[in-house]
Amino acid sequence: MKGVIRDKKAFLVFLLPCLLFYLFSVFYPIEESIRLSFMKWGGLGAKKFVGFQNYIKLFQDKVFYTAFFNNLIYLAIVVCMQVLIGLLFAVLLTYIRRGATLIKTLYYVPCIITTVAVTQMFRSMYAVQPEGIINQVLKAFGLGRFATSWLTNTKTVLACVSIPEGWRYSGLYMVIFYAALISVDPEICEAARVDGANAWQTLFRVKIPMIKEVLLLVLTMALTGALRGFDIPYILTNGGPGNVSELMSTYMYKKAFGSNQFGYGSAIAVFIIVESMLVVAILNRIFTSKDEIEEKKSLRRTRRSKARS
Amino acid sequence: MKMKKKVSIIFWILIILFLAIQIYPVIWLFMASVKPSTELAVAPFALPKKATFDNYLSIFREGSIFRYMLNSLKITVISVLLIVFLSSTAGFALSKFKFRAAHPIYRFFTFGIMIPVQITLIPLFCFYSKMHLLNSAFSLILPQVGFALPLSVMMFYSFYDFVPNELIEAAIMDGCSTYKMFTSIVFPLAKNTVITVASMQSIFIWNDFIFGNTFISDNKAKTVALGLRDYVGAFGNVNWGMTFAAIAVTILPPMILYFALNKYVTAGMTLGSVKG
Amino acid sequence: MRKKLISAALALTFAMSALTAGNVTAYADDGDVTTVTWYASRPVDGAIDKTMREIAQQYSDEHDGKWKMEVITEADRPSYLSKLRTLVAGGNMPDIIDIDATPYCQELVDAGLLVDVKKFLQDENLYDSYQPTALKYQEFTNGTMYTLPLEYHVEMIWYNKKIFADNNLEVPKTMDEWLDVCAKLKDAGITPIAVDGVDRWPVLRYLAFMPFRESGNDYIINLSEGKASMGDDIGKKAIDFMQKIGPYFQDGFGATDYATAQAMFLDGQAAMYYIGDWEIAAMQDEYQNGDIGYFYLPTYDGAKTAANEFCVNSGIGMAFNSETFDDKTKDFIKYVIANYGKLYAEKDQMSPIKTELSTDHEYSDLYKSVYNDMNNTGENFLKPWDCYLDSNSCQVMEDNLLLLAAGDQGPDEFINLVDSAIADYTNQ
Repeated sequence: MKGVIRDKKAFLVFLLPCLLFYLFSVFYPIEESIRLSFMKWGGLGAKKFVGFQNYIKLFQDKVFYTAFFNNLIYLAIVVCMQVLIGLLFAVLLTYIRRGATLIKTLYYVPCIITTVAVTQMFRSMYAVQPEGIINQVLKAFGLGRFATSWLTNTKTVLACVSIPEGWRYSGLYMVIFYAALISVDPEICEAARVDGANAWQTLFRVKIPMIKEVLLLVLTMALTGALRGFDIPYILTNGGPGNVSELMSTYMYKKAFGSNQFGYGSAIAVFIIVESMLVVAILNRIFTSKDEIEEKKSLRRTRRSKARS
Repeated sequence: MKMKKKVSIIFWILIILFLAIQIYPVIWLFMASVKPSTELAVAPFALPKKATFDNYLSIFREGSIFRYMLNSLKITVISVLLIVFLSSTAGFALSKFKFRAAHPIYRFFTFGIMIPVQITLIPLFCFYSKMHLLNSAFSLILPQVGFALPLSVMMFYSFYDFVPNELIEAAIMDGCSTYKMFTSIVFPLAKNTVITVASMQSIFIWNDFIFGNTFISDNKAKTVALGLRDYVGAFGNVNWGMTFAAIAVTILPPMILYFALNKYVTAGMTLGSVKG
Repeated sequence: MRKKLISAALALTFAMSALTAGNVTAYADDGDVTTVTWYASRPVDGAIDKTMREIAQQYSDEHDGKWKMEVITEADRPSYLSKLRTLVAGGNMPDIIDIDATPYCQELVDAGLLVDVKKFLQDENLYDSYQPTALKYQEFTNGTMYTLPLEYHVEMIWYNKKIFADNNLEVPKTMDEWLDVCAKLKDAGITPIAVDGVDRWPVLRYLAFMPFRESGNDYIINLSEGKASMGDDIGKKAIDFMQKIGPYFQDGFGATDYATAQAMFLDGQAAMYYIGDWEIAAMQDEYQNGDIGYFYLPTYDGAKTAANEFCVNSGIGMAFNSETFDDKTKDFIKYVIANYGKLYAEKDQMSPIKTELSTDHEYSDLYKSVYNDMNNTGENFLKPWDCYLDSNSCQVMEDNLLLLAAGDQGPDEFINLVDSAIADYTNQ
């Protein structure tokens, strides 16, 4: 209870529109998904209650397991790319005096481009025949033996549908990181330098810990963004070849809207929620536990120093 | 000193390399849009041998792309207004009011961040078709706004935390009503957060594919991302030249918006997220 | 005062979103103007789209604008089908839809949603004005017909004459010769066949070739009804052929889209390309210059179907909502049938309605050649497998076929996956 205003009526006036909208648009669908996941419905006629049948089928479905693990790999690739590339170039930009604003603006450009364009471009880039730019570059550097048909090779396709998504939004996170980094008080860095810290130490010991909050925010945004990943894999390979690059969302979409198995699709949807909650919970756990450890440490320190005095 | 120079050269090479990777798609896009179809397919990365503006001409002659842009614009503007209105007020309620319920409700909002949008497709589809809402702008606005709320509420909430309580108390002492305080003191302070939220969400909404793909079938209600599929021929043959020309036309509005607001967006992120 | 302002703003935003909720597509009688909605899956500005719009305009003019056809187009077939399903699921089936005689279409028929087109044509004495194959293609396996054809196609293998001549190759007559030609081309470092793997259906055709030569459409009918297995003799022959011809496709064909595959062939990067007559406009120049030619599906001794029998189809059909199919709509459809053939053929298309080539339009050699071929085809025709299989089984088959053809999946797993998907459907 950190606020100060006690006007109950105003509280409701400010809160309710948003809360109601949120409940209706987010929680009503969740409730309906759960309900529909116990039904069998082909889109025509009446819905039939079938108990746990959809879930039983789900756990016997090999493709479901493939999709589940694919989703985790997709998440890992997308989030790592976005956060690491974003952070790296944000840091590099902070060392630049001239042109930083322009470069920053240009970095952001891929976010603006429509998915259809992004996917078609990557499709051409990955191709072997006519030769895409990736294979051309590999051959030019004498790495021709690594050239492959990236999107049909079962070993590379999953990574290849993840990369466009990771690449696309790295500029957005870079802008956020950059904003955070330049707002770190320069006097603190100056003080660190006076104390004999070199550039690396200043960066890793001072600057990055100072933007830890932003790091968490970006991680959450990147994770939830990646969990929503659908359009690039859907357009690029539609889960193929076979089901090698199938994600939970593309599989759900196929089953519900492609094969008219709305009940089964809903059961997959319920599992998407479970998987998302799991991932975010783990992330939160990692961050809070570190926080708590540090808090405890500092608490002990203050106690000790108090005891000494 | 020499060492420093070397490092700075490496810096610049890295930065320019990455810059090339980031803006290459746009250059590629414009190049692709002026290539004849066969050339585009067999030599997608070469410079166009002879630029043709036929693709653009046919798009302008056909004209429907402008209607799609208008639809997208309508949906984006209404959604963003709703998002800003709803999340700025709710964030204020949760951050500055002294009620026990505030914190659990805030947690409840942040919980929504982890819900992926795809799960709404089936239920909302059933709901819309029952209510005859398919093909309406509303069918896209509802989920767009709903799923943007958690993050936006979070950003406003974080910002309001930095509005000193003393300021609020002083305003109360002055006999200022809560509503007046919000509209004339607190909300104007949040200008940068508003711009950040609005510019981020508007780009997401403008480029939306999944909701449109599921809820819209009528030509009159198509958004930009769907309209790009008008250039699909029989049995799946896509006229990529025209598609890319259409894309080139449709990315102009978000591009202009971004370049125009760029300064404020960064400022908003500094205030809204860093100090959050 | 401020409070009022806020609640006003609130009301305004909600009202705005409510206002935008209009735009419902349904059968509407706007005053005394009748509007019929056609949810179409035809290329925008393509020949069918143009012809139908012209006819609708003409008809509307003759009725003082009291009649209007509204066309809603989703050219991308997979999106079209999923949206059609969702529209029907929501109880919003448009007045006229496009659909193949698939199991899903049968479901619509069973639910009483579609008009019996065969009966309609017979009642109106129009049945004989169509090409018999065009109508037969639209039939369900039980001989009923609920869809009206608007197009008429034949599919063939196009080949690059220069590449064939340079390598001393003859146009193959038998399946073995065909594979042989491919092998020689590949040895010479030339990509034998360009294929569009992104859209899946072209690859599925290759799987259907052997079963068609072995049994006509019987095998696929039995397979789709669960009476045959993918592991039967014929199925194994199909798989075997797929595995043999797969390596002759261009590298990474699974990720090559339609436009790219076609451009590869036209640019001389691949020697052969399987596509239907709907692309004759694209083939026209090269054919006229003598650079490319075409041949039909090869056969072999003892095949059940004749050499002049291959994939002939009348494309996706038009079906009518039984609830809104009234006299006004009937009159319009009769008008369409009376005028469609001539207008459509003048756009260099093959018409499903028997049409004499009119003299006031110049037809190309290629068109006339294909036109003659189509008048000399046999009674049997290869019907694409996606028309017989339920959507889920079809999806499973198409998804895994890419792996099979690329050599990433063995026959046993493929048989297993297909059989169990079909069993899933037939057991319901």
